[in-house]
Amino acid sequence: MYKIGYTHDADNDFIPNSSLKKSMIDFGATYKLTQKLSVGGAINYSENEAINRYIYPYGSGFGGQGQLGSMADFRQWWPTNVDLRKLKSDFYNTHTNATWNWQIPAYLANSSITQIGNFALGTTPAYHDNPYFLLTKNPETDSRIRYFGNVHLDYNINSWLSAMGRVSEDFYTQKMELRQDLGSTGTPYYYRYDGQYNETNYDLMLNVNKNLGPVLNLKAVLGGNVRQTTSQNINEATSGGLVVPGLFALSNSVKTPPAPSEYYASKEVDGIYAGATLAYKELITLDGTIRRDQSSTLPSKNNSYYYPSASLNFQFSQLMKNLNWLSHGKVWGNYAEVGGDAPIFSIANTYSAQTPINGQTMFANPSTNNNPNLVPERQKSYEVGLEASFLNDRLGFNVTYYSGKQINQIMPASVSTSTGFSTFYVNGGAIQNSGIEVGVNIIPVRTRNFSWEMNINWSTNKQKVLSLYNNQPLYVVASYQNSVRLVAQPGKPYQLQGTSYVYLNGKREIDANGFPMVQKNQYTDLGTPNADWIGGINNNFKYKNFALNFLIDVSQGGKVYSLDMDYGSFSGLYPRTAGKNSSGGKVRAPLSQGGGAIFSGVTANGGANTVRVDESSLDNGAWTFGSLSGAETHQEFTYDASYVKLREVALTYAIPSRIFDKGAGFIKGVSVAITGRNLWIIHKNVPYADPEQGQASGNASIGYQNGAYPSIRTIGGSLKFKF
Amino acid sequence: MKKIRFIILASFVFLSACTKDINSLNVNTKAASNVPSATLFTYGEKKLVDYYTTTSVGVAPFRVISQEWTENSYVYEAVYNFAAYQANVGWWNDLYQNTLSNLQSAKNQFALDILDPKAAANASRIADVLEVYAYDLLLNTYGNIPYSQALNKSIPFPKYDDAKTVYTDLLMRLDTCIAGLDPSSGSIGSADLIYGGDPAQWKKFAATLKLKMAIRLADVDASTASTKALEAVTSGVFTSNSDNATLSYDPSSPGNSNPIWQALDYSGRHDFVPASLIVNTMVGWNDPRLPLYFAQYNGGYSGGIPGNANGYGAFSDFSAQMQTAAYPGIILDYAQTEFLLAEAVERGIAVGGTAASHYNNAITASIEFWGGSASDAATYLAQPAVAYATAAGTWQQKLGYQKWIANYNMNWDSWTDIRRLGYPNLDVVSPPVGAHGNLPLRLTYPSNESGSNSTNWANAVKALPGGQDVVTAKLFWMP
Repeated sequence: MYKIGYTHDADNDFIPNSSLKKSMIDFGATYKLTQKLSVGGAINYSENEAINRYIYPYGSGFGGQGQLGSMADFRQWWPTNVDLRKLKSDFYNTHTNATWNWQIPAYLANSSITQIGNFALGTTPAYHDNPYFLLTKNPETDSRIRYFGNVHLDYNINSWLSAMGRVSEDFYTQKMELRQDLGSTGTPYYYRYDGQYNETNYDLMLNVNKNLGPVLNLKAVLGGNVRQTTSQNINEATSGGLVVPGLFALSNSVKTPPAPSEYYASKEVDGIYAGATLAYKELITLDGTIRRDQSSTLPSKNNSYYYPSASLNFQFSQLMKNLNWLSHGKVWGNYAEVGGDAPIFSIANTYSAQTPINGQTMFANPSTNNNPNLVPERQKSYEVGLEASFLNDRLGFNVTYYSGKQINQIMPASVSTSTGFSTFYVNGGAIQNSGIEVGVNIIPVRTRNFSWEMNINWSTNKQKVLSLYNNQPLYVVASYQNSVRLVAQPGKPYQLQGTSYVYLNGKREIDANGFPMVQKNQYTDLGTPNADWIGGINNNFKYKNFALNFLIDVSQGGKVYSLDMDYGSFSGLYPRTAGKNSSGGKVRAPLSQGGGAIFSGVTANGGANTVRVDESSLDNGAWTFGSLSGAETHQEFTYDASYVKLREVALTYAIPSRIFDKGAGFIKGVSVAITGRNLWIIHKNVPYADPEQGQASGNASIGYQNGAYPSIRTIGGSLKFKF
Repeated sequence: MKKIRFIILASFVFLSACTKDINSLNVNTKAASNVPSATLFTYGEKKLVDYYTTTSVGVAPFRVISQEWTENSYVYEAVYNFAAYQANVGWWNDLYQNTLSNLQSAKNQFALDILDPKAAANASRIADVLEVYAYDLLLNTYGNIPYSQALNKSIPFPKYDDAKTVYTDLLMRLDTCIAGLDPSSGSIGSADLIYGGDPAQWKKFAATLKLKMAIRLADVDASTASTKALEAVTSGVFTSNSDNATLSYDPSSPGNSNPIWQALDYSGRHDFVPASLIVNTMVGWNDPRLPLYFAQYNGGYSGGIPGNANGYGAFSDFSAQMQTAAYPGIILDYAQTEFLLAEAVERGIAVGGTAASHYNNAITASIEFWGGSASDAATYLAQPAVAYATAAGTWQQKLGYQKWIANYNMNWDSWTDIRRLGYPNLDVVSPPVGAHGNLPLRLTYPSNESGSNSTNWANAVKALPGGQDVVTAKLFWMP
């Protein structure tokens, strides 16, 4: 018996010159050697190739590389009076970084300096690259070639006992390249990353499936697993610029590149496990498992950990078969513990090599102090649930409550940098997540030709940091651009933190010069990025051969900080920085012409602020928009991330099957469908952006928007044949 | 039989898959666990000069707040707004983590690596002198700082020590180094990028640093200032520009090039312009260093107004020599030494010479070091506005202005001398447009300390005059 397949996908994104191509070949076969013994195997090969998939804003790419990225530029700094169509035609006509903001030749002509660094006169922009130049001449590309497969032997020892042995292999190589050609605003470079990843699993398993008498069934498993992974990469960038334009090769470097950085990490986890499931009729199922893992990344004295679990499932409707209105009902509960190992190389310190200066070798202390005394981390969780349906499944619901606690989390805890380190690896911190998930299914109408089905989902998760290493009040989970951060604090869910205003009796306080007062040198909680609850309603209408399906998604609560709005306000891009003030004057006009703006709030004595602030120029020292101005705060640009979206609508028409019956051909059915996704954001509070968009791809980040892409509305048609 | 064979075969494959000693896999085979001590020293020393030289407003905003340079478009530090780029965080973290930590590691290891015990002792004292230099930067930027419990792997949360107590200890460490540095032995040779490991030069450096630290005490403890300054002069301070503590940058790699070149040329950014006050002052006095500091613009010299958005291409640029990748960094020089001696004379400390002679030596040294000639210096000094006898104001004003010009590329010292001498009196003659208060007397503690070392940080804040972590709190040597 075998199967074989080939698939190919090519996606062109809405960004010019960006695409993703995927090809895949797979083959699998099994062969019965004897009645009881069979051998099998499978092999898959895939290729991915992408251009401009990741645009890393602010050098957040691999090795600190990456350019500003046009999306972040558009939302934060881009002069709104620049015509993009003109830039497009200029680029395609000249194939240069055609711009309106050249390095100023007049300046150079008037100055005794004749050249600014590497940047030749009048050929490079001073601030903004032409986005078409960026995407065409400086493409970011990545590709992956992957093989995975396995061979296995299965042996049916007798009617209730079988054995399986398997070796599986997953191997891929990955290449990433970043480019900046001559003519760009930054120093030209070429960067490449070559990685290789390999995972081998050895499994041996003994399975039992036996009826113990007429009503009792036992399923049991005894097994072992060895998992070996090796991850390695080498990456290198040119140094000091490129010599020949458009030649992206390491040898085209202006200066001698430093030694490439190399990484090689091998890891092994050896596990043994056993499990048993006892079923009594279809009424009660009892399940228990135990697993022991031993990991190479933990110190040898503490390198093994256990995963016990138990669950119970009770189909109470089996006892109530006399109740006609009850179609189905069960309750269940389970408890599980999971162990975890340490990140590789976190138990011993090594030095980092530096580029030699004047022929002198340099090494530096690491920034993290590793810990030879780490112990495995643990997660404990339980779950209980109830599920029932009534009236021939016309009405049904399910409710689940879960609670999980992670303890002894292995993490790099921030310490005082006066130790010489920024972090120490520790077992510290405990965090709890608990929540409720509810689902309801209703079929309000069900007739021969027409039906209406409705599925409602609702869930809420409460996150709570229980404790931190050494009773620290705070742990910085992530630091974002512009000094906004995500932190863990005991007793709270993760919080965004940044600057906030000073409040007087609940009202923003304004100083004598008319500026809002800002909490100086202090981080304030700006709210959690976690939503209070999420939900969805799916409706499905069927009339004869037509089906209409639509899904509405709701997310309530949670905060998001928008770097786009903050920087863009500072640079004066958004309407909030212009327009008319309360007395009808132009905000951007000088005070003498009735311009300026009044910040709402109260003065020190509690009265309303009436001082108008000049906004006419950066040179008057009073520009007040954006947190960078010092007058506004990160709080100002932290928004409620709630939304209501019409996520999907699909209309399907199935061509009546009788048409095909007559022909008795091999086609058994044809259906035509139109599907639209992300059709409408019905409600949101984040200005100019989809609250679900984060940082412009690449580095995902919670509660933070940086160069947010517009979300894409897709409408597609499909034609399906059934054979 | 088949059953048994299969199970044996499968078990054999499985068991042979297990690695015998899995923990051996957790050794990083691409990074060193042990390195020669001198390589750590070189890194610590290089980073110290980098941070002292850098134009990065996230580390050292001192060029900007002392109004030698000022900002374009992104106007924060120029108006004493440090919230945007958090120089208070960068300066602290970089000095502790990259400078002090590596110097300390080198010091702990020298005796194991260097076979000649005398050379090992010299090496360890050289590292100690640089540690004192780095602690002096920290202490006089923040106030109380972690010291006795700092740089210790077993103390993740060090307490802060009283600044005055630490200062006394630093002076004692310098005494020990001056007494112990043995010019008859070697040390670490070319791994020392400043003096090639010459103990005699380091002895002079230590004495000059001691003179600088001694004079700083003069307003609050005149007798210690006098004693320590005289001791320093007796043991031998810098006597010519050839003593200057310079580090030659390496243009073959951008990261080892001069940080000024990295910021102004390599980055392609346009963040700074010369500040109007220094340009105008130098123009007014026909300073021969003008073309050595700045480039002409429209046939003259002009600087931006601190606090204004200024603008790229509208003012003088920086001189071509400052903008080369190999341009050396400098952390202590002869000109400063002579200015300190002039000040000592004015304060009645018997260091020899007259205030005027030291003043003349200092200015001449500065002009010559930047590429001017002795006759340029003589012409300059002959002007009534410059000559010590006739220059305007008190000795603080005369020394303050000229030292500020001479310190053009030694900006933490510029800021510190302005804080000490009161001149140029920026708050009066050139308050930045839209400034957030007066020139800061200190930087606030880094925000990461409040989170990661909270108890000790809170105690340190309590110990500040006024109990508030603000830039207006005075340091212990401020009267």
